[in-house]
Amino acid sequence: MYNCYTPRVATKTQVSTLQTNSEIQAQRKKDDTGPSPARSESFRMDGRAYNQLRPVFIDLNTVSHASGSAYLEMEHTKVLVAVYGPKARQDVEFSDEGKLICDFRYSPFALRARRPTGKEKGGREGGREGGGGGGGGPQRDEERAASRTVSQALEASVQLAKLPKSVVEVFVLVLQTDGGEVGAAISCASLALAEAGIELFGLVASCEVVAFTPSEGKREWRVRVDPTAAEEGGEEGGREGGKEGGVVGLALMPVSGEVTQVWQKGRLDTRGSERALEMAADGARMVHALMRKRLLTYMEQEGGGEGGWGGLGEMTRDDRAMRAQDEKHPESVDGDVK
Amino acid sequence: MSCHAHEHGYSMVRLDFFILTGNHRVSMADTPSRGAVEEMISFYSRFDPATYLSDLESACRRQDGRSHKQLRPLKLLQGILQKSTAGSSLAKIGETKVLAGVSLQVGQPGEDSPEKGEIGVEVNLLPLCHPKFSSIQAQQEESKALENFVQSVLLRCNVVRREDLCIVEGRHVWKLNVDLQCLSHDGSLADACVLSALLALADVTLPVTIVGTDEKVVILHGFHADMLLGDLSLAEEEKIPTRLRIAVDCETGQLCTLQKLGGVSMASEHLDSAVALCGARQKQFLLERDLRQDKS
Repeated sequence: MYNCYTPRVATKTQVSTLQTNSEIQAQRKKDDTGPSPARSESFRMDGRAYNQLRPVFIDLNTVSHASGSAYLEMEHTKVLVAVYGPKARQDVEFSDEGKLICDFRYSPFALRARRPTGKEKGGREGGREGGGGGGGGPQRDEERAASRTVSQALEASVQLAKLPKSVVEVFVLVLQTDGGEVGAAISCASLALAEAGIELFGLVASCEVVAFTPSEGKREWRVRVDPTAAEEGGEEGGREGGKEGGVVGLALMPVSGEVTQVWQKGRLDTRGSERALEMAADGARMVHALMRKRLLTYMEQEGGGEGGWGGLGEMTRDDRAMRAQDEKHPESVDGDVK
Repeated sequence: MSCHAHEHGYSMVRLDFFILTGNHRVSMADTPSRGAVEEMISFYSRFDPATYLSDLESACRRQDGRSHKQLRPLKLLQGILQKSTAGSSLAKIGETKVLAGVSLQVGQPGEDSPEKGEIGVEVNLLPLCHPKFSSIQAQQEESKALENFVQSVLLRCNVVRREDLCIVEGRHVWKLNVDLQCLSHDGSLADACVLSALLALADVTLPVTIVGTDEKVVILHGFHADMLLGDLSLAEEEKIPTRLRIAVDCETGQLCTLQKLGGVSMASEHLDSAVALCGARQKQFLLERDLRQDKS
């Protein structure tokens, strides 16, 4: 796989619970015994099992001047997140709690059709919500909506009570989209927050799921974890000709089992919605396992030995004691990281 | 450079640092590690930039351990956003990262050049890549300057033959939109922008013709504050006002663009050595490009 960020070749991580081909086939056979003989329920355009994620690649500490940063790639969906702060809050004189600001943006070439950036249109409309340190150019509507989705998903995971009078800025940049960029942004931002040493209750992992009915009138639902853009929309017959369906996204803190954000686009009945949510929770747990693994290997490489925190080089003794305390945060909060 | 000179360079700086801080000296082992020295020099450079600069001139190592004319390593990746762009590339100079994407548009040619296509350059600097871009003014100030510079290198030096972009003369031509997205800013941004734009253009395959980027151009910042420093990092850029931008042809070594921006006057022999320094970046670029071609 061509990796956008590092010269290293991405490690292809098969994240499914179904690891081997024989298992996948066995699963498919099981599905075939179901009520729809025409097409196996687990059929997907890119050959994945219905509950298999795309290969995930995670890199940490990619933006040199940020407090924390992460890059997450799910095949063609590529997201970069940088976290700045905590820094002094400008918008109010005093606040007991910290504030999380999220700025979600598509790069001009993120989508298939290039869209002009705000600069070309000229003028500034609205800007970012919230105080903080003044925004970039004007955000488009969908960017603003996604900003809100991401910040709400993350707010519950950050120990804001420990950051009075301060603000944490989360900048999300989508480099390329192929479905699931909002979910990817949430997972990636959570990693960046952890890398920045900001105290969390736990890592937030997110996963999107598409659910659809195979044919009109039928009330049986098929779900696909981590859909590509083609699978998400009706575009290119993505839902296999299904008329009804929608995308459900879920952000989950698997350590405490808390759901921090749910969003849905499209039409689903309660049963379809329930199934989709169950699937999404499973998917989020898989993503979480990957995130945790990457964070731990990163800690061992960069934070553990003499190498210093984030490649800072060797530090003085005081420094090291301080950093060691910092390092404990993600571990102690994230109960089962150990 | 010998090990002795290396030690010498550091100890000069260290001595001054101790004098400046008086009794509040940091307890250090007799032979401080490189990381610790780097940290200390960075404090010191912020504390007293003027002395830092004059010391830098006599010492032979910079903050990050490079010698005056040493460039940071260059990494290039091509064709990484195949899903959404016609051509793309990532250029990394040290910690500076710029992602370029080229998208195609069909448009009408201008009246004065009916057979020529167009190239538009847009540079995006978000607060994501460095906190100094948090206001829209700061973004525009720097991005406009970069846009103009990259565009002038691309157009004036005939990187792309604009005649190749013609579909029907006077009616339809290709417009290449080069979007440069800075992902991480640690100095020498113009350099990274030009290199990634070049590589992304070379990656473009038009539906009918292949865009020939036969005359490749390489650019380098030489810098000057009575001494010449190659490839400034961000910390150095903030302190050194005089900068020099040079673009040379990759194949022939001819000079394409030369800009000296602001600051003090400089001796002509510095100019010669700055141009000669471009050779180093040229070599890096050719090496990276060939490496990539071998892979594919």
